[in-house]
This record gives sequence, structure tokens and C-alpha cells, in this order.
Amino acid sequence: MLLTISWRNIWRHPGRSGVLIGSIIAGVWAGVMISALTNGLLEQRFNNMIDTQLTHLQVHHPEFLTERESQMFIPGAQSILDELNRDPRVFSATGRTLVDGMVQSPLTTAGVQIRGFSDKTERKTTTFHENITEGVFPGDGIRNPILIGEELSEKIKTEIGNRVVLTFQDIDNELTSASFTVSGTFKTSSAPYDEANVFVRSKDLSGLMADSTIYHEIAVMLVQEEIADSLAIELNGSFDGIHAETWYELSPELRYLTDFGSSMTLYVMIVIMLALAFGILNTMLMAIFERMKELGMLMSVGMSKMRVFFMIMIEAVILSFTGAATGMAVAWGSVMLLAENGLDLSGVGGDSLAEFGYEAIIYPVVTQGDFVTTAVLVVTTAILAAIYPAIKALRMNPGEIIRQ
Amino acid sequence: MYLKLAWRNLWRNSRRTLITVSSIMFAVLFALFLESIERGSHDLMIENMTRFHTGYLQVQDYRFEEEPSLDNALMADSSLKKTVTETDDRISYTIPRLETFMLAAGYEQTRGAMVMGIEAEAEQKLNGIKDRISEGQFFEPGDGTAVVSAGLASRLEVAVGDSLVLLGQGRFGVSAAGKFPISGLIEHPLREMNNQTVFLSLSDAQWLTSAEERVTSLIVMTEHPAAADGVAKSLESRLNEEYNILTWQELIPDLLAALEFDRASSKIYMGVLYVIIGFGIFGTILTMTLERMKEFAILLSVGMSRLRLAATVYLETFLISILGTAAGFILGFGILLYFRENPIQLTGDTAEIMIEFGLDPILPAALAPDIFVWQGLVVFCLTALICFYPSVKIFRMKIVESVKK
Repeated sequence: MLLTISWRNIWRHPGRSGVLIGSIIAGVWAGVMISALTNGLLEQRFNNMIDTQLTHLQVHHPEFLTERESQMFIPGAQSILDELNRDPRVFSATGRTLVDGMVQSPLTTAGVQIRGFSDKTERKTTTFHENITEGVFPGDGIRNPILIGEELSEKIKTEIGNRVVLTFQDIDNELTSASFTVSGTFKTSSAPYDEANVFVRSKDLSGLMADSTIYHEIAVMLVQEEIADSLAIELNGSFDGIHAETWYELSPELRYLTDFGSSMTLYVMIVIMLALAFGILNTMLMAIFERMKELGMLMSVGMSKMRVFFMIMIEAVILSFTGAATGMAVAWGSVMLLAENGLDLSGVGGDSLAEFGYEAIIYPVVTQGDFVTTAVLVVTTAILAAIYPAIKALRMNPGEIIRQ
Repeated sequence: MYLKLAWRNLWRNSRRTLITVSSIMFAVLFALFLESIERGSHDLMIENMTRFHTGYLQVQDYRFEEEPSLDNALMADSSLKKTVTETDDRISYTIPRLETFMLAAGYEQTRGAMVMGIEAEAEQKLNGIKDRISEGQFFEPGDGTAVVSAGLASRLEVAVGDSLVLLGQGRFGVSAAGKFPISGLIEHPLREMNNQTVFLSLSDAQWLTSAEERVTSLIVMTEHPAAADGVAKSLESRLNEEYNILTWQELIPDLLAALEFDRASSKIYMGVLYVIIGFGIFGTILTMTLERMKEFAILLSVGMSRLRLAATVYLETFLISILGTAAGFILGFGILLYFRENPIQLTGDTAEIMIEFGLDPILPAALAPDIFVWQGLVVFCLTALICFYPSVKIFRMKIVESVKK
């Protein structure tokens, strides 16, 4: 009986009900969109930093990062790589041969970090190859190819096709030199980095340093970042003479940046959700206060106060559920639409991002949890917003209201 | 006359007016607050990151960026400092640094080390370096002792009280060698710094490298990072071409990239917020219009022209926007002031890592006049636009039908 009255009330004023449903739809839509974009943003920012080189997890000789000596390569690196490649939690893993040395062009000499990459697995693990600006790496048929930074190539005056000589210590601390052919140049966001690092093939470099393939660093991308910690502990437990560390142990600065960014986003979400709640609250208040006369009439013809209260509440429930369901459908549609092409930040001042090697397109990431949380939040707000004026309605004197 | 009518209409149904005013007030408030914490966090991030590395601005010899050697160190006597400080009012203090790479030796072990000649008092102001002492104490200027980073000390197998030998090259190939008792150890959160740094007092480092009165860079700190660009310009025009002025953007491009990303994403958040508050305001105004259709119809049927009615109603809503924006400003100012003085305390992982870095785990609100101007303007324009709705409705309505309802 009450239900019928409520239902009829809603359709007696399609305009007013429409506004309320509309504001709830907008609320759910905005809530889901903002969660989806936030997730996408955080993921994107994290990936921008992790994907280029750092990766989720790295394995070294325990002393390597502090001492950086050639003979501190990872003992039994191949078996660790095999083990990692078998692990379903690992997306991909790659070995790197690292040594500090000198690069010599006919003109001048410069100190550099020589980084030996395993081309195929490195490409799968990181996005470093996207920084290549000219030429190719490693390139087919080129003996001892080397990739150097644009900054460095200017400094030592070499071009693609030129030869340079690398000098470094092998694992017996003997100085070794070899000639490499410049096959390409790269440019990252950091000019000092471009000047101080050169890339060669791991097998070329380790062939010159030792008789067998050696790796100083194993970089691991995981399927899910969250398990980095437990995998590091596992690796440290099952292999001797190595030290596995997660990205946030390797780069506490990056952790600071991402953590601070995430907490910041949390506060942004709170503000937006509050704005949402107040918008719905105001519309709801307005709608019910405008109906005071009608409610007074109902009471004066004998409807009990409790019934009036429940009638208002039932209306609010019907309206908010209709709105929430529609809002979720609309939000789902928008997310799907955006997921295809992504949201391009270049339009809002993100164009300078490309310069830094940042991907400026955000893809929304939405979980069922986001839908449920938003819908619950919005529906609760809407119903709570109806309670206050409904209680107000209970307290009023029907006679006075009608006369107004 | 219209104004009077509109004003009276507003208070004829004060509850309706107050609800609309409050919806605009909250819109202004949320826009202000969001912009303010975005700005505050942005400033904080720049401040924290630059404190570790480079400061906001650096003055270097023009050759130093190309060839960072002591030969290209900058003459930084008191006259240069005076010139720099007097160039711009926004400069608060300067910090001289002499950095060079040397071999550091304990009894058995030798390692490469970054030797930093610093003025401890000035650095303390910048990054609280004295509080990072984990053992012993900080040197006094010119007392001939060294402070060693903990990672380096353990690699060299030295402790407080032991002697450290530094060996390298001074200016123009002069050999530099010296023995320094270790007065303290310092724990630095950045691995790179912790594993290879030796701090000497500036005068000791200058003596060691035969670089009297010279520094590799003079850090210039302004009150606020936003002032850095302007100060850089005035320094450039004041100092001759022998000096190279670098801003933090040039010194740490990685940070700039991360910040640009934040800035772009915060624009998206502001956009969504505008949609939400726009709907909130539209909701109240639309409801108000619908409820008043009968009233409008009666006014029209007794002979008021549609134009006059529309003008009156627009004036009403316009007054409401002014009231709402003003109320939002007043409340917003109070709230921002509160959150600036009592910043939001961060918790969990973020707080943990910030403390580890020696930073306060807080998120302060920024309080700048242009935040009020911009956010006030945006919400006001948004509202002024929404306020056309009742007028449009008045022109389109069918009088007879509305009266009958």
C-alpha cells in the first residue's frame, strides 16, 4: 500500500524525480570514473618508472651494488634465471652484465658504465628499447654493436657506424680493451644518465670479461607487483651468495614518490566523494522541502506520521536504486569506451611528458569493488539525505504548513 | 526595482534560498580545498626532493656543466655572496659547496669517495644534515676533521676516532693529500650518498684541493620554490656570462617529469570535480525552478512580461551565486588556514618512508590568493551559466497548463 503511494508519488512529478535520479546517476558515474582513472594513473606512473629499467625485483652479488667490481658476478646465474622462468608468478627475467670502464673515440675518452643486455629477454622485461632514437640495437651482422646516449655521442664526437674502444677490468682484474661499432643512439629523460651509460650485448661483454656468460644483475618483472617482497625472501633463502631486492629497496626515492602520490590521490578522492555527497544532499533536501505542503495535506487527511516518514524513505530508496543501477551501467559504458583508446593527458598539459619518455595516455582500471563501493556510498548518501527532511516533516504542524 | 523584487523573492522562501546558497558554497569550498592540497603537495614534493640534492638554484662557473672539474670551480668570496644575496629580495640564503671525487683510505681498505666541502650550518638549514649523525658529532668549521657516511665507513672499516686519508687531485693538477680524524658518522637514506660520501668543512676542503675561496656550486635558496625561475632571471641579468645559473628543473629533470605527470592528472581531477559540483548546483536550481512553475505562470497570466520575469529570476539566482561564492570564500579561507597551520598527518607506508627520509609526514594546504581567484571564478561562471536554465524555462513554458497543475 505505502509502496504504491510512493511509486505513484515518484511518477506524479517526473521532472523532480528525474532530477534526483539524474544527480544520483551523475554521482555513481563520477565516482566510478574517478576510481578507474585514479587506478589507471597510479598504475601508469608506477609503470613509467619501473618499466624502463628498474623492474620489480633485482638480484645481485651481495656486495655488487656497493663495490661494483667485475668479479662480483652472480654465482650460478643461469640456474636462477631458469628457476625464475619456470615460476608462473614471474612475467619475465633478464640478465645484465655490468662494468665500469672507459669509452674511447679517435678524439677523446670518457668514463662510462658499460651495460651488457641480453637483447631478447631485455625487450620483454623493460621498455628501454623505446628510448632508441636512431639506428638499431643490437642490429644484425654487426660485430660488437654498441648503443650510446645522444649526449655522449656529441661529447665524444661519434656517429652511427663509427668505432669506439671500450676499456674495462675483466674478472681477474686485468685491463681489457675491445673495439665496438656504434649501431644506434638513445635518449632518456635524464641527460646525465645518457652521458654516463652505454649498452652492449651481454654475450659480447661477458665473453671479453670471462670465458663463460656472466651476469651481475638479474632484473625481474612480475605478473603482480605485490609479491615482489615474498619472492625476494624466497630467492634469498634458496640461493647462496646472492642478494635479491625489491624495487623499493633499490630506489627509496621512487617509493617516496609513488607512496606520496597514492596518499595524495586518496585525499583527492575523499574531497570529490564529499562534493558528490553534498550535491545529492542538497538536491534531496530541496525536493522534500518543496513538498512540505503536500505532506501536510496527507497528514491532515489522517495519514500517520510514521507512514509519511516511511513513504518518503521508500521513495528515496526507489529513486536511489534506480539511479545507482543506471549510473553503474553508464559508467561501465564509459569505462569500456575509454579503455579502448585511453585518455590522452597531452590535452591538459601532459604534452611535455613525452619529452621525458613518459606515456601520457591513461587507461582506466576498474574493479568490481570500485563499482560496489561507489554505489553503496552514493545510495547511502541519498537515503541519509532524505532522512533529515523526513524527520522535519514529522515534526511539523500540518495546519500551519497548509495555510502557508 | 528588479533588484528589490529579486531580493524580496529570495527571502520569501528563505529555506529554498539557503539550500541553493549552501550548494554553491560547498562547491566553492571543495574546489578551493582540492586545488589547495594539490598545490600544497606539489610544493612539498619539490621542496623535499630539492633539499636532498640540489637546492632550488645553483650558480656555477659557466664551464662547470660541460666539464665538472675543480679547474672550473667558481670564485666564491664574500663579494660574490653579497652580490647574489642582494640581487633579489626573494633570496633567503646561499649555501656554498665544493664537491670532488677522491680516493679515501682507512688502515687496510681504499675506496673512491665523493668529498663534499660544506658549511654545516647552512646545510643544516637546507636539509638538517646534522640530525643524521648516527655516531660521534659534526665537525666545527676548519677543525680538520671529517664526517663519513656510514656505508663508506663500514667498507673502509673505520670508526669515529680513526684517521681517514684522502688522496686526489686539486686545482690544475696539484696533488691533494690529507689526513683527517673522523669526528662522526652519518646515516643517509639515499644509498648512493650513504656509500660514498665524505664531508669536510668547506675551508678544509678548499685547503686540501688548493682551491682557496672557491666552490663548485653556490646554492641559492628562495622562500618558495615557485620564485626560483624569477630569481634565476634576475641573477642572469645581474651576473656576467662567466656564471651559469641552473634551476632545480634543470638539475633534477626526473623530478620534473614526475611532477608534470601529477599536474596533468590533477587537472583531470579538477575536471571531474567541476562536473560533480556543476550537477549539484544544477540539481538544486532545477528543482527550485520546477517547484516555482505555478508561481511563474500566475505572474505571467496577470500580465508580467516573460522578459521581465526572466530578468527577475536571473537576478535572483545571480544574487544567490554571489552569496554562495562569498560564503564559500569565507568558510574556505578558514578551512584552508586551519589545514595550513594543522597539516593533514599522513599515516602508513607513506609516513614511514617520509620519516626514514627525515621528512615530516604531513600534507599541508597551500593558501595563495590566486587559488581563490581562479576557483572562485570557475565556480561562479559555472553557476552563472546554470542560472540561465530558469530563464530558458520561463520563455518556453505554457502558461495555461502550468497554472492548472
